[in-house]
Amino acid sequence: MADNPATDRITVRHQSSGEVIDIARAAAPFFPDYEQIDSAGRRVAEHKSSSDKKGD
Amino acid sequence: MSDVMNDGNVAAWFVASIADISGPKAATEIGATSTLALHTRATPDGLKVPASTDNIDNSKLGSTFTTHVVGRRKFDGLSVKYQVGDQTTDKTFDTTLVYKAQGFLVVRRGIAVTQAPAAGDSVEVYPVMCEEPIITDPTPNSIQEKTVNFQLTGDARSASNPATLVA
Repeated sequence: MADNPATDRITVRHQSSGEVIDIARAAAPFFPDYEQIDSAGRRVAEHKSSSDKKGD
Repeated sequence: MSDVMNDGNVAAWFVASIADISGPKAATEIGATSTLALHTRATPDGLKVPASTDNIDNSKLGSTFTTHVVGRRKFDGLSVKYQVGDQTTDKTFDTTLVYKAQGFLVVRRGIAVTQAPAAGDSVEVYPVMCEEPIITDPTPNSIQEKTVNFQLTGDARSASNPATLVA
C-alpha cells in the first residue's frame, strides 16, 4: 500500500495532560503540543510536529 | 469602476506555524507543505469572519443618556465550509481540520487567488483551534460539505490592524 500522509494514522500524546488521540500523519504540525508514541506508549522521536517546515 | 470584487479575490489558508503574526513568512510559513489552501475547496459563502465588539456602559448619573465605549473584540462564529473531495489533497482537509487541531487562519482579500502569497501582502491572521466538524445534512442534488468552526485562541491581527507578509 502506498505511503499516504493524508490518510496514514499516527497516535500522539499530549505532552502535559497525557491525552492520547489518533490523527493523520499530515495533521501532526497542527498538534504542536502532542508527541507521537508507538503502540507501547514510547515517544517516537522522528515525528516532531513541526518537522514539515521548509526552513527559515 | 473602483469597487473591489470578492469573486476570485479572497484567499484563505490554514497554517500550522507562524512565529510572528505581525509578519508571517510568505514562503516558509504560508507556503509550508502542511498549509491548507482553504479557498480551493471552500464554498463561495463558506468563509465566515464575524467580528463583533462588546460595549462598556459609561453612563453618568448626571446625564439623561445611556452611553457606551467600546470593549473587547471577539470573533464568535469563525468558520469555513468546504466541499468534500476524494483526491489525496482533498482528503487532507478532512484529516487536518479536526477537533483540537491548532493553527492560524490567514485571510488575504483584494488580490487574485492565482497570485502566490508574497512579501508586502496585507493579511488577517487569526490563531485558532478547530471544533468538531459539522457534516451538512444530505439533500437531493448536493455535494457533501463540512463546516468547521474555529475558536480564537489568541490575539489576532484583524482587519483594523492587519499583518504584512514578509519574505
